[in-house]
Amino acid sequence: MENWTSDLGLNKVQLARVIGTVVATIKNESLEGRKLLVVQTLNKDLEPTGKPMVAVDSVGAGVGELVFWCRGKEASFPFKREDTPTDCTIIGIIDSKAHVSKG
Amino acid sequence: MIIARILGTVVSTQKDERLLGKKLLIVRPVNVDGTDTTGYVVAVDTVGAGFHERVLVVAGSSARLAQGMKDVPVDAAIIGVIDTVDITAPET
Repeated sequence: MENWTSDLGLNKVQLARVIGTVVATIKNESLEGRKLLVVQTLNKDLEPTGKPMVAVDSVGAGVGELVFWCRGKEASFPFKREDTPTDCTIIGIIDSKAHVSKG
Repeated sequence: MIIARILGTVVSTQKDERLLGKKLLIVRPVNVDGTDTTGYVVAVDTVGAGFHERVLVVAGSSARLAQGMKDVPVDAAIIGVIDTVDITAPET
């Protein structure tokens, strides 16, 4: 499953756990007011996989929550897309672990 | 976005004219705990970052979306200077 999705570049929406926050006072003007969170990518068994990344929050997620996020140019679509420089954005909060099918 | 540490500068006289006046820095991606990884990236600075500072680097076509980077041929841009990184939840 993971192989063919990554081959087709379809692995851009991923599960992650918010594990921390980033504070940056000096930043590009187009990012002012945006919340920056550290996310740890999870596999389908909700185990950590890969390195944590910094993501812009678009939904009001908090530390410890299970979220899904997207990478690449699409990450700027939740915002004013032509001037928000982000390649990694949290686009949804998962209500509970029970909603993640292990199939 | 990744967290990176500034290692040095790149000087280039002959370059695309849309890169004129832009500062080019060599950055090394670091882990969230501050330890170095391997490799490096040349990134365009948009915020006035300095040596040894930890910065936020955005990669890919999103780098062009930063203010002042419109239509600039760049795939990595420094878009913030990091003050603190707080890891408060376990990585599981």
